[in-house]
Amino acid sequence: MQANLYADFQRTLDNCSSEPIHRPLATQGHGQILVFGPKRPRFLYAMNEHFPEWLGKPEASLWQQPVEAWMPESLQHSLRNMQLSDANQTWDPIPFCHDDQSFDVMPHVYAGMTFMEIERSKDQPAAFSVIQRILNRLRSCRSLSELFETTSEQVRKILGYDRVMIYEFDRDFHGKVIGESKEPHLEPFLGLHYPATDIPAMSRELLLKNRSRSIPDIQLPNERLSFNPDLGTAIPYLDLTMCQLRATSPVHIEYLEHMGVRATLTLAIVQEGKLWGLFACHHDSPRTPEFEERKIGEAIADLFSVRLFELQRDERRNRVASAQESEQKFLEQIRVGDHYKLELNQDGKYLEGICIADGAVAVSMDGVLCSIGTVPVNEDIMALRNWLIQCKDGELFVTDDLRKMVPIAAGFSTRIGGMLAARVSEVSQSYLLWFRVPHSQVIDWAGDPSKTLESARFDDSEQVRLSPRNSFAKWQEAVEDRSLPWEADEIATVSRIRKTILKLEFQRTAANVMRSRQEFMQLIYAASHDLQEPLRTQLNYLDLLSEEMHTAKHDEWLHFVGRASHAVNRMQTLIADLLDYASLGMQTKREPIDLQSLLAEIQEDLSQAVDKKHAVIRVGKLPWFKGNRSELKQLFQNLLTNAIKYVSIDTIPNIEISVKREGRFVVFSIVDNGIGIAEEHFQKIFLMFQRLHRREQYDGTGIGLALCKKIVENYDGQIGLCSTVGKGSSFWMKFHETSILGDFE
Amino acid sequence: MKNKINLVLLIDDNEDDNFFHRRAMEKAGRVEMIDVCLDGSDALDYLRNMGKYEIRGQDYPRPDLIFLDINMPRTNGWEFLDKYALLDARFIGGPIIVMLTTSLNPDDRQRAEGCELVSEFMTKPLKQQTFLEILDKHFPDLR
Repeated sequence: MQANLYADFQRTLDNCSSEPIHRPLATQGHGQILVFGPKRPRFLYAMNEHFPEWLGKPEASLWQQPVEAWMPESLQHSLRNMQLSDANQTWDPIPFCHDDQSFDVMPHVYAGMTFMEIERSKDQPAAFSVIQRILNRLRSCRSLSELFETTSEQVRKILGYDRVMIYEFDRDFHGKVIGESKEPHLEPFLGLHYPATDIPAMSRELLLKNRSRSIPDIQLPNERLSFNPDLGTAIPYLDLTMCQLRATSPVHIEYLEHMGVRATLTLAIVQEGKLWGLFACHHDSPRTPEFEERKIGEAIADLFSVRLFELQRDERRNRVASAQESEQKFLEQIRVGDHYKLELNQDGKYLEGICIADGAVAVSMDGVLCSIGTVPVNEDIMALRNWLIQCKDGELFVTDDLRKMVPIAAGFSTRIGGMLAARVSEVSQSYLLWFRVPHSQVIDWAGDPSKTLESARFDDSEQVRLSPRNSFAKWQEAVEDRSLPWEADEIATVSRIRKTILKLEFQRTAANVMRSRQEFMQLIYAASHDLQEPLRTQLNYLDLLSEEMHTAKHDEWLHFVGRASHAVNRMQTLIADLLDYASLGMQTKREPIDLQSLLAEIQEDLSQAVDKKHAVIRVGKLPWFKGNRSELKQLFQNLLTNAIKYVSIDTIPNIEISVKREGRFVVFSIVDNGIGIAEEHFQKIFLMFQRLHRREQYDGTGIGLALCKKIVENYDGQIGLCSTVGKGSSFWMKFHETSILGDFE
Repeated sequence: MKNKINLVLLIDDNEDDNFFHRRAMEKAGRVEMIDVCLDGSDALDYLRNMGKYEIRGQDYPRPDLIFLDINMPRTNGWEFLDKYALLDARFIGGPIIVMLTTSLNPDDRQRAEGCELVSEFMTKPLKQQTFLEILDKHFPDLR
């Protein structure tokens, strides 16, 4: 087992993330390292313990003698130049021969210390042609998936590893393998997910500074760093951030062992100063990439990053363009109805193109208007709507963790990860909701998890903590309920839709205010007209009586008084009807009403008129209706009264009330065999105070059908008629099926 | 010289009003005959000797003066005027006076003012004095 790498850190099961991996007191065994400090720059500060043996000089002489005594002159010269610079810096490698073998000496200055690392050098690939080749390949990639595939393939070809993976970090530094090129016999890792703890923050920080990291052989024993005893440093401490030879954390070695990996090279992919992802290159036998190979790797990672940025921008543009098209089409579908209700004139199919989502709904106070894809059940959607109404941020609510943000969502039978909600009506509190299922549910798990587990080598004495299989389980746990985050452009689109619909609602409100004002004025004129008429009549008769007090005969007197009191009666009825009309819509309480029993009650009330005319009324099977009892009674009573009243003297009224379904609507009809109505009057009869007959013929105030129309419209229904003069009329009322309860067919 | 006009037509569904208007005109004593139609369609039949008036043959009534109510069932005052405008000249009578039940509705007043067929409009009821003033204005040769 490895000796402890740190003087001041003891690894336990829980403190992996705080391991100071940048300053182990050891180096990897494939090279030599020389370190010089600022105090005595000509004398060694530290070296790997086998350097004296490698150089063929006794250890003591290296510590005690200045570099001039033992270092080849070319290297002395470089060392002097480096020590004159005070900034952190890296220089080109210096070729160096030792024992007839060629080496690279790689010098750098970091944190005040001067480092020289010595590694074997081989025949170098021609960097220029390699870069040229990969640049052309990257430029020809037209999609992200193509880019990932091509780049991983090229990196493997150029750097010669068994497996090259492109690994992307998410917002929380959990990672996913998005591109892979490998030897055919290897198990694929493409699509696998890893928790953030697999590549701890410290490693990510190191990779941002030192863009490549090579471990040539995990089985090669580490070498301890020796420190110059003459320098008398109390606690040996050396920051190896920029050193290639830095020893590897035993945790990581163990992890690689379990995956059957012998050598690795890791290249940082940096975008906008942040670690976007990694190239992870694995090899099942020792592999030492020399300096130039590593630098080519870093250059490829940079080129990849540039092309990635371009393609992401293109894909975002395409997504925005297609979302805008859906947005446009969706807005064409939608309108705000007379009663401020959101109405979709189609099935809302463009709703789903606006965001990338697994499902979408439009919901108003009447329920779910349309629903597409994976969404909660209707009751749950209504519960969500109620929650949003209460919520102060409910106007535009965005979450990728619904169960955490909205506690009621934990009980939903459909598992939802994220939700994007927009309140699109202030009056009816309607919402558009987009849903995403939890991310963990949509993972493409490329390998068979159980097989990976088998291939991990167990040691009875030591717990297997890290393996791809375990990592996936840990990752799943970390992201279990959450969805992918909503993109800024998606939120912007939804916000824009919200504003557009609210503007429609505002326009509707303004139009409605104008219209109700006009209606109100019309009503006032009409009412004053119809009320003045009987008043004037009374006044006229009173004048007449006073004028002819002495001349009129007794029966003339009676006639005059009779006419006057008739006018008073008319006025009373008129005022009562007007009050009924004015109070419509004041009662907002709606409850299920059994229309069958309501109609029976109305027939009972009208029994006198029915008996007088021997009327026959047949009522079909009627459903329950969600409404106000007294309003519904007025509605049916007025229609039935008209059907009984407007018949010619020699006809026995024959009336039939029935209901039928027409698509998503329910249509009631009241058919009579009365005098009928000419088609030119079909609109007029529903206007206030419009009568088709003189009072002497058929009595009435001209309010009844206006009242019916207003009631029907309060329930978002329509009323109309078909009629033939002399044969009869058929009044129909059409309501949306959501107003109806129970079965009637 | 004769100081009476021959025929006045009242078009109004309100029988009480008709009673009082007839009475006021009779008291003024300046009209030979007063006919009543209870709505616009009735009046159109009356002017053309159609329907129940057919028996009168070719002798069209052509009233000297027409008092027209606006608010009537079936064919109201405005609808009557629309159809009257299309009538053959042989059916056309004298000036038309529109009678408004109330002067409250500015729409009705404006409409009456804009209608070329309407000579005048007045507010109900028609009193003896008003009737005389109308005669003076529209039949100055009569006195």
